[in-house]
Amino acid sequence: MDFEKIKKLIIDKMPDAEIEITDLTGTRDHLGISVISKEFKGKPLLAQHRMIMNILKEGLQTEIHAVEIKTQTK
Amino acid sequence: MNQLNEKIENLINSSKVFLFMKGTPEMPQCGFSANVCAILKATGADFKSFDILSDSEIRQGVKEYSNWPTFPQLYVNGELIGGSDIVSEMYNSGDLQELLKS
Repeated sequence: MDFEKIKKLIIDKMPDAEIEITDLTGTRDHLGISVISKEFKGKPLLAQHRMIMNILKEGLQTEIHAVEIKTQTK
Repeated sequence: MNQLNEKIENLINSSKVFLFMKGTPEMPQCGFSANVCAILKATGADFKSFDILSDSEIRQGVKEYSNWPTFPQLYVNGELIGGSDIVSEMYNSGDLQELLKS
């Protein structure tokens, strides 16, 4: 999976996002994605994760299973 | 509401804390499911679970019901809280313990 492509997908929807992607297993298919953005403010964690999942789902045209999302508010 | 959704709602509402998981709390079949079980046990909460590997109809149905693609899925008071990463984070911040008390 192309990390830069994932970053771009998120930035396109959330311009203020600070994103860090880590390869959790060394095989580039289990990813840790950390996103910091003001857009998360006041939203439950599940809603924050849904925002990221939806961006990935739309952009990659596939369901992401092996991804660990971490979101934080600025 | 169709029969499958009714079955799923009945499961979710069968306990204040309900977990759709891979395997059983005694024998989880996935690291993420095992993690959520361990956390629930650590909080002392009573919970019921369903092994989605045992029923492909329920497995697919729950994904659509919640519009959430992965398992495990933890429900508290009928509401989806999240999977392993969210549950871990809420446990570490203490928010999960608060929620389970409510």
